[in-house]
Amino acid sequence: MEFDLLQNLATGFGAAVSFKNLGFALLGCLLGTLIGVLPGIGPIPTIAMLLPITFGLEPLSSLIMLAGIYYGAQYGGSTTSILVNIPGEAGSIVTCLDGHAMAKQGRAGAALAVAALGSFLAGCVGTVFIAAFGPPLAAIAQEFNSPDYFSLMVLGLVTAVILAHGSVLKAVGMVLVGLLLGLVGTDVNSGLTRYTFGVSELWDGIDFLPLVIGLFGIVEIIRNLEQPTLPRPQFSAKMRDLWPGAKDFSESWRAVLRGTALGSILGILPGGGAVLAAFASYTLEKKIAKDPSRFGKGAIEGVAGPESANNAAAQTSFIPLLTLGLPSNAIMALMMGAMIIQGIQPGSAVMTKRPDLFWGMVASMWIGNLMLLVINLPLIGIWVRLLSVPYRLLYPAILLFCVIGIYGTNTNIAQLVLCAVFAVFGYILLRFGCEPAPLVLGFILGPLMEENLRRSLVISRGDPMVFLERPISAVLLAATVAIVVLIVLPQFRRTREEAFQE
Amino acid sequence: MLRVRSPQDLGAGLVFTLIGLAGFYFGTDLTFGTAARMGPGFFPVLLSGLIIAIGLVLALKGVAVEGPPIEPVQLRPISFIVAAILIFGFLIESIGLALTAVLLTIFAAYARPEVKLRETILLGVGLAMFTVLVFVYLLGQALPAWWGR
Amino acid sequence: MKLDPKWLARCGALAMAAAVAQGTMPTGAQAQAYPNQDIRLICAFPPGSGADVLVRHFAEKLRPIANRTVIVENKSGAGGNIAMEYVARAKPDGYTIFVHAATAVAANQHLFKKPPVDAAKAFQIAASINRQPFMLVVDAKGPYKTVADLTEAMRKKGDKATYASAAPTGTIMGEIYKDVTGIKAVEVNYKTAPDSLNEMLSGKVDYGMHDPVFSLAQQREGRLRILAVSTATRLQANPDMPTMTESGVPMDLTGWWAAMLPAGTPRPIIDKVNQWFTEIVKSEETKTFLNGFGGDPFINTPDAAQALFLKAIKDWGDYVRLAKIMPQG
Repeated sequence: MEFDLLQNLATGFGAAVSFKNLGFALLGCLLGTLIGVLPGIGPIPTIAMLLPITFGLEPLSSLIMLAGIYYGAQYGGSTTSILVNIPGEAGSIVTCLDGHAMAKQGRAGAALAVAALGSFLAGCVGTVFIAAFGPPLAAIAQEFNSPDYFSLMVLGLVTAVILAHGSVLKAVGMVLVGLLLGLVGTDVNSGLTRYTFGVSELWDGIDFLPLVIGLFGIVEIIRNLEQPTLPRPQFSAKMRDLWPGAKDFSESWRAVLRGTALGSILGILPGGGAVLAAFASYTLEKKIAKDPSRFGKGAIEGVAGPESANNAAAQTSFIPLLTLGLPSNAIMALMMGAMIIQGIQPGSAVMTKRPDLFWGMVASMWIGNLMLLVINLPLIGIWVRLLSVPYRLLYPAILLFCVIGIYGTNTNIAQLVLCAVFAVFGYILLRFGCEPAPLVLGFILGPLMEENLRRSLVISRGDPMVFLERPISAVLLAATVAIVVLIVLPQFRRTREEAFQE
Repeated sequence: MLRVRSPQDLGAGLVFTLIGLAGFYFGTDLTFGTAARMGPGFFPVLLSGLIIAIGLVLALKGVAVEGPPIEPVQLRPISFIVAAILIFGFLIESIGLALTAVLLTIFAAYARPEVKLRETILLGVGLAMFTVLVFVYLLGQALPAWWGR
Repeated sequence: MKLDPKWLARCGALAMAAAVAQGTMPTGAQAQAYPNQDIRLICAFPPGSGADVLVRHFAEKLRPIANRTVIVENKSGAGGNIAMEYVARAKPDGYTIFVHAATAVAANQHLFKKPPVDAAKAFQIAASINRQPFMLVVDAKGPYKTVADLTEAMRKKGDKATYASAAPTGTIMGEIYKDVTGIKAVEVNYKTAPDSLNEMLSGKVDYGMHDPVFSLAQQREGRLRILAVSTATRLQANPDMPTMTESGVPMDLTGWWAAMLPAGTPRPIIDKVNQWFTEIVKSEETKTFLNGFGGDPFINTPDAAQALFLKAIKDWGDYVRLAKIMPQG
């Protein structure tokens, strides 16, 4: 097996390292980064927009370019999250939390560099996972039945509460509201619509993009505009200050490793795996930090961990697609569409019948990650300087890109109305001290949780023991209980202390 | 007269209670089902109930426990930004990206009192040219650049 | 040279005016020399989806034939209703072409209490594209080799039998199967067919009624076995797959895709679009492409296709009633 692996990688590198393919990889990375860095235009709209460019190329070249676009979009999205506090996708939301806080303290360079380096390391590990463990990992993912997914979602939702750095009660409330919002649309198990008020655009539920951009991006702009003086970036343009210091490195390398591990495993699971990875990493870092109160105010582990998790998951989420032919999330579905257009039927056949394609892609993943590191580190200086454009000129541009990103994905005015509605909603909630991040997690995981819960009960004909009978589900539920206990105990202690002080 | 000790908590409590009530009201015509065979209305009603409960607890806390005050709401930024978004949405199909980009920029700029009209229009035109070039021509997005489609 | 803001603004305005003059022409000129504008193919599903891949294939092939820019516009949502409404309201000038399953448009008339448009009056089929079946699939490791095997086993299982469905067509196929054979399987719904795979393989679900793309891919991977197809006659794409009818369950559930135009489009334009799509569908490349999707090329004149469409609207009303699917909305 070892020998084969090296042999295969050699084939792959041989195919991928041609001048032409390296050029396409570079082009893809650049385009992906440039579009992905535009605020409000996250990986999904970026890939959708750039997909047609890959059509005219031959299969391997187009896949390499597409992978480059994908990673570029991820890196670009992280950059936007840190610099402008606008997430382009679910996984970037946690990066905004501490990443932007660091940027406001003048440490944008360090944040970006740590994100880039952590992502690179995670990408390398992820690629190795695909190469060495692809099929066995995919086999594990195949073991997940509805009860297991339910338990996983419950675990994920509970971690959302730890995320919040304010009132736990409000965080729980936000998760529940997010869950409720996630129920809008057509119910899978019965085929009936819920909370759609006769509006056809709501039949498939509330789109993710308007919700996230409204709650985070637009609210951020509005909040900045309310300050007596517009934000002045405190960035130093000197390269020296853009680089993370020794302290930053020592604080973050462990977070990178943990994030990579989490992301590699969770990325394989279809439906929300990658999102969960970033959130879970943040939660983990916050929980085991010596001083959790730093989180939300610029703790570098809060950037290093989730970014690594995100990128590791981005890699391993290819596994179900490449080995089984099953896309595990919307981006993979796009990739699959791109492959089919090229005449490639993704699945295990690709590995055997066209090993040059499969291994060439794997090799180019590594190359792409390296290229992005090389591209992005110097670019950090440019992005930071771009931010020193006066805010009064910057924010209309940000607003315009956000709006184009939403409308371009789904040319329906309802999307923009929704965005505006969520902006107002997010504004009000923020005024009352409720953070939006738990809401988003509830929104994403909630419907999946409900769908799998009801489906499990239909299949088991109403027997709830099915959640404990299946080993995976039982383990996940036990972990959930453990975490709930961990949350609740300190609360008790604190309330008792407060009561004593009164 | 009750002294509101934590306006934020009270506000949050009210919002949650309202949301829960709305969820309840609009969810009751769905079948509830049983715990073993949940209908589409099971979760909506359950969640609404929980949200109302949290809302009430928060409201109580708002009256009983000290907390930070609510920052004053400024109507100008939020109104103009929301207006900018909606104007874009309602007009893009009729007058195209180039013009709506300019309009959006102008409306967004007026969210701050110290607007420089000439500079704003320049910015708008610049952004319009950039976005039309990149999104419509280079990337072939289905956004109309001009009117008359 | 001074960079006077006023001067710059004037230049910008002039540039824009010049661009406008070269831009899209007003529609007065539509009757002459069609096509003289960009053509948009409307897809009712998001980018990257199976449907999107198909529409993009046709966009690529149409470009050189029509000699114009062809853009794919995704208007997803509400099971296709959003796109339907959009196309029905579009100008009947041949520049907005709806590429979608005509049978899905027909089915939507009955799946919703208030369909957004009256399909029979709102659309004119310009050309049919392909015809494809739904498929009955089981775990490849399992013992069932024919529909008869499955039916016998399901009868024994009584109401412990379970089947997966991820689309209304699957439900309808499932209901017809139960109706004819008398088995009492419980339906389990999934958002997409791949979601059901794990449970079909672990034995929790006995069989599935799924779309051809998924079924063929999984059969190729060796994970599922296709027992029968839902069309009345066998497909050229897969001639060794028996039909449900042959296997004792008479049905003819054929989905067929078409290029549709808003009603009222002038006849010459309809014929032109028909000519284009027929040419594309006849090509070897497209034939292989369509076969990969589990379907056969399907060529008809606009009138023949329209007649089939009207028949489909009637038929699907019966199917939806039979499957006891409650109209939504």
